[in-house]
Amino acid sequence: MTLESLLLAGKGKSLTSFFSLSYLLVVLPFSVGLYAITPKKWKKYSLLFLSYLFFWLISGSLIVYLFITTLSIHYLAIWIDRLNGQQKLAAAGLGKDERKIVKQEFLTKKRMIVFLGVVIHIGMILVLKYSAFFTTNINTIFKTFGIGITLQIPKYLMPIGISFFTMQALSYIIDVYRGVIKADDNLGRLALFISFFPQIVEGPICRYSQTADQLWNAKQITYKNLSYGAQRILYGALKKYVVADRLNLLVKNVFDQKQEYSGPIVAFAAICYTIQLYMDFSGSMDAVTGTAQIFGITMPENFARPFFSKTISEFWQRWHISLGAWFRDYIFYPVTTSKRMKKITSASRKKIGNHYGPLLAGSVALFCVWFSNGLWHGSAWSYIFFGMYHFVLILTGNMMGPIVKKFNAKFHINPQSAIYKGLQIFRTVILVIIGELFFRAKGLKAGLKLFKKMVTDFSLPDLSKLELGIDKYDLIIVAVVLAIILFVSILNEKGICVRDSLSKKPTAVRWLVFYGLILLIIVCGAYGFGYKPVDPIYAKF
Amino acid sequence: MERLIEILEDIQPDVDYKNCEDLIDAHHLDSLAIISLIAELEDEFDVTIPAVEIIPDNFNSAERIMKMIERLQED
Amino acid sequence: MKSFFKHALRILIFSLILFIILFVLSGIMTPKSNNKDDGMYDELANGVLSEPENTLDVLFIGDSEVYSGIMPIKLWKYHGITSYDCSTSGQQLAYSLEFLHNTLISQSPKLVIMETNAFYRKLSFDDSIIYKAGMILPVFKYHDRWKHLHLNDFNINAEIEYNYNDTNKGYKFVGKANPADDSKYMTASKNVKEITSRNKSYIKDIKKFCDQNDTELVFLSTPSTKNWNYEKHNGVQELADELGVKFIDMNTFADDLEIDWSKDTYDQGDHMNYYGATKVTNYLGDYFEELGIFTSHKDDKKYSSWDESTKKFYEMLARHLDPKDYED
Repeated sequence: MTLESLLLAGKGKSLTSFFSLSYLLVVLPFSVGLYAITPKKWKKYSLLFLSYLFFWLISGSLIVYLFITTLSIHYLAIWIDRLNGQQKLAAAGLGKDERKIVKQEFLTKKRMIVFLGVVIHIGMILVLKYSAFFTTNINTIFKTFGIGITLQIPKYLMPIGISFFTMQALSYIIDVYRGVIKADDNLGRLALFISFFPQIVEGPICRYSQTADQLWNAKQITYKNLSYGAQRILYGALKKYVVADRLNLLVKNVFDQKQEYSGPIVAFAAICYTIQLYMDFSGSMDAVTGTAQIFGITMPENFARPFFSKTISEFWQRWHISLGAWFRDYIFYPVTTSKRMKKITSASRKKIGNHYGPLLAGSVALFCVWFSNGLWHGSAWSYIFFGMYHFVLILTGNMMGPIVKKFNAKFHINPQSAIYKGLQIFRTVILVIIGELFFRAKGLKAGLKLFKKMVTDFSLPDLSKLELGIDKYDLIIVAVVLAIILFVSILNEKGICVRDSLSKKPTAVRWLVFYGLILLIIVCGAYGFGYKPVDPIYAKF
Repeated sequence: MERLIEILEDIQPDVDYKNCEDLIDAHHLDSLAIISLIAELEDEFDVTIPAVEIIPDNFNSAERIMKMIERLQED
Repeated sequence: MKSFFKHALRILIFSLILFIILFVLSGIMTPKSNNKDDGMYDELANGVLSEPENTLDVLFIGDSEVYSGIMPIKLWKYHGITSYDCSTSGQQLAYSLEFLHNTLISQSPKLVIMETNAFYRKLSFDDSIIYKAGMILPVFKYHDRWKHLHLNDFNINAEIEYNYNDTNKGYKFVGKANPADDSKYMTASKNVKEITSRNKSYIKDIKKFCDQNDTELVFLSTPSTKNWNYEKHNGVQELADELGVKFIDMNTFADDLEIDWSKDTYDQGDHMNYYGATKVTNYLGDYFEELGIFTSHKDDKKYSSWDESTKKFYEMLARHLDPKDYED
C-alpha cells in the first residue's frame, strides 16, 4: 500500500478481514511497531490514534457516526453522574420516606437522559440499517390494499461495525444509569473503549468494565504476549483459510444459484454453512483476541465450544456470547423484572407451580430477545424467522422440561449418562443447522423452499456429474483440520490451555507444531490463484 | 437465611444450597428459576430487585443472595 | 536488552527455517512441464514457454482482448513474423509482469506489445503481494497442487520440460457475432481516467524490465465499445508520454479499420470475434512492415513448425467457417 492510498479514506475495506495480507503484513506490524516505540505514558494515545486511523481507512467520512456515538454517550453519562451527585446532596439529612421521594424525582430525570441516549442510537441504526426494509414492507402493504402510493426506498451508507459499537455504547450509558459504573470523565478512554480497532468490526461486544481500563492502562509488549497473540491469530487463520473459505464455494453454489439441488445436497450444504459460519466468525474472534493480547489486553471470549451444547439455550450461552449476554442483561431481565411481569409471575406461581409460573413473563421477555436478535443480524424476514425459530425452540424446551423429567424417571433413563448427553448434543446440533439454513438462504421464501427440499426429496444425486465447486481433496483437508480443532476444543473443554501446555514442550516440538500449522495454511489454504477472498460474514451485520 | 434456602429448594430441589458456590456458573439455576426466585424474594423480604442486580456475582450462593437482600433492604 | 536480542534471534532462526522449508516445497509444487495435467495454469498462454530459444519477434501481453483480437498465425502467414499471445482472461498487471519475466528468459523479442485494458483492472494489495511472493517462492502460486502431485514432483533432480505448444499461439477462436451498441462509443472527452498508483508502478516495472532486456515496449488498445472510452485513452496517453512509450489506440481510428460493430464482436462490443480480429491483425501486420525492423523467417528452416501450425490453424477455421470467410 503506497502512502497515497493510505491517505484515501474508506479505501481500506479489505482491512475488515483480519486475515487479509493488508491487515497481517501492514496494519498489524505497523500498529505493533508504533505501539512498541511509543513511550509508556503515551501508549494509550497511540492505541486511540491507531483505532481511529483504522476506522477512517475502512469507513472514510462515515467515521462521523462514531463521533456522534462517542460524544453523545460521553456527555449524557456525565449528566447522569451529575444528577447522582445532586441527588445525594438533596437527600442528605432526610428521612427514609422523603429520601424515597427525592430518589423518585431524580430517577425520572435520569430515565429521560438514558431514554434520549437510547433513542439517538436505536434511531440512528433504525434509519441506516432498517429504513429500506420497513419502507419495502409498507409498500407491499399499500399494494395489497390497492393504495396507489409507493414510498421511495431510502438507501444509506452504513459504517462497518455500527451494529457492534452501538451495542457497546448503549451498554455503557445504561450501566451508568444503573449505577454499575461511574461515568467516564475522560473522553479519550471512552473513545478508545468504543473504537478499539480489532474489536470494532465484528465484536466481541465488550462492556465498559471489561476493557476500558485495560485499554487505557496500556502495557509494555512482552515476548509472551506477542507469541501467544500471534499463535491465536495463526489458529484463526487456519479456521478461516483452510475450512471456512474452502467450503464457501459449495455453500454459494447451493444457496445462491438458481439451480435446484436434491435434499441430501441441501442438507450437506446446510452442515457446511454452519461449519463455515462458525469457523469464519470464531476465526475472526481469534484474530481480535490475538491482536488484543499482543497489546496485553484480555478480550472476553465470544465462543465456548458451542457445538458441545446439550440444549439450544445452552448453545446461545456459548455462541456469540457477548451478544447473548447483552440481550440477557439489557432486555431479558429488565422485561421479566418489570413491575407488571413480576406481578404476573407471583400470581401464576401460586397457581401453576414453580416451573410454569415464571414461564409467561419469561416467554414475553424471550420473545423480545429473539425478535431483536433476529433483526440485529439484518433487516430481512429470514432473520426475523431465524430469531423466532430459536424462540420457539427455547420455549418448547422450557415447556417440556418437567415432562421430560417425569418421562426419564418413569423409564429409568439416566440423563447423566454419556449416551443421553451425546444424543442431546446431536439433537442440538441438528436444530442449529436447520436454523442456519434459514439464516443463510436468500430470503425467507428461498429458505422454506430449501427446507422443503431437504425433508421431502431424498433422491441421491449422481455425484460424478455434480459441479459443487468442491472436490474430495477439499473435503479431506477440511475434515483433517476440523479434527485438529475438535481435539483442541476437547482440551479446552477440560480446562487445559493448549498454548500453555505447548509452551512447556521442548522447542523442537513447539516449532514443529507451528511449522505444521503455517504450512497447512500456506499449502492447503484457499487463497491466491483462482480464489476470490471471502468477506468476513459477521462484518456485514 | 433458612427461609431463603427453603425458597430455593422449593424452586429447584436437589441442590446443596448451603455449600454450593456456583449456582449460576454451574447452571443449577436457569433463567426461569431466577425469575421465580426474584418474584418470591420480593414478596418475602419486601425489597425491589432491579435488573441490574441480576448478575452471577449476586446469585452464585445462598450467602451472596442474602447479602444482596440485606443491602437492598437498607436502601 | 539481552533478552530482546535473544528473542529477536529466535524469531530470525524460526523465519529462516520456514523460508528453507518453503523453498523446498516450492520445488515440489512447481509444475514440471507447461501441461495442464502437470498443474500448469493457463496452458494456452504458457505454451509460449515451449517456443525454441530466441525465435519470437513479438510478444503480446494482456487480458482477453489479446487472445480474442490478435492472430499470431496470420502475422506469420502474411509477414513471416513470429509472435505469441501471452494473454489470460482478467489478467492482472502483476501477472503480466510474471509472463514477461518467464518468457524473456529464453526469448528476446524486438517488441513487447501490451494491451492497455488491464491498466484499469483493480489489483488489490493482497493479490499484488501473493503474485510477488509466488515469483520468489512458487509454492504461493501453485499451492493448490497438493491435490494433484505426481511422484515425479518429489524428484529433486527432475528437469522442468516445457513441451506443450499451442498451434494457435495463444489466440482463441470465436466465430459467432453478437452486435454492439456503439452510439456512445469513444465520445470525445478531455477528462482523464487515472490509473491507480499500484498499477502504474507495475507498468513502470514492466517498462524497466523491457529496457533491461533491450526490447521495445508498445501500448496497444484493441477496439472495444464496452471497455474503452476517451477518458481511459487520455489516461494511458499521459502515462505513455511520461514513459516515452508508443501508444496505438485502435479505438481512435476504428472507423478507418472498418470495424463493423454489428458483425465484428462476439459479445456486444466487449471482445473482437474472428472477423474483428482479422482486421486488427491485418493492421498490426502493416504496422510491423512499416517499422521495417523485422525480417521474414519464411524461408528459414528453423521456423518450419510455424508452417505446420498454420496448416492446422486453417484446418480449424475450415471446421467452423465458410471458405469465403478465411480464404484470401
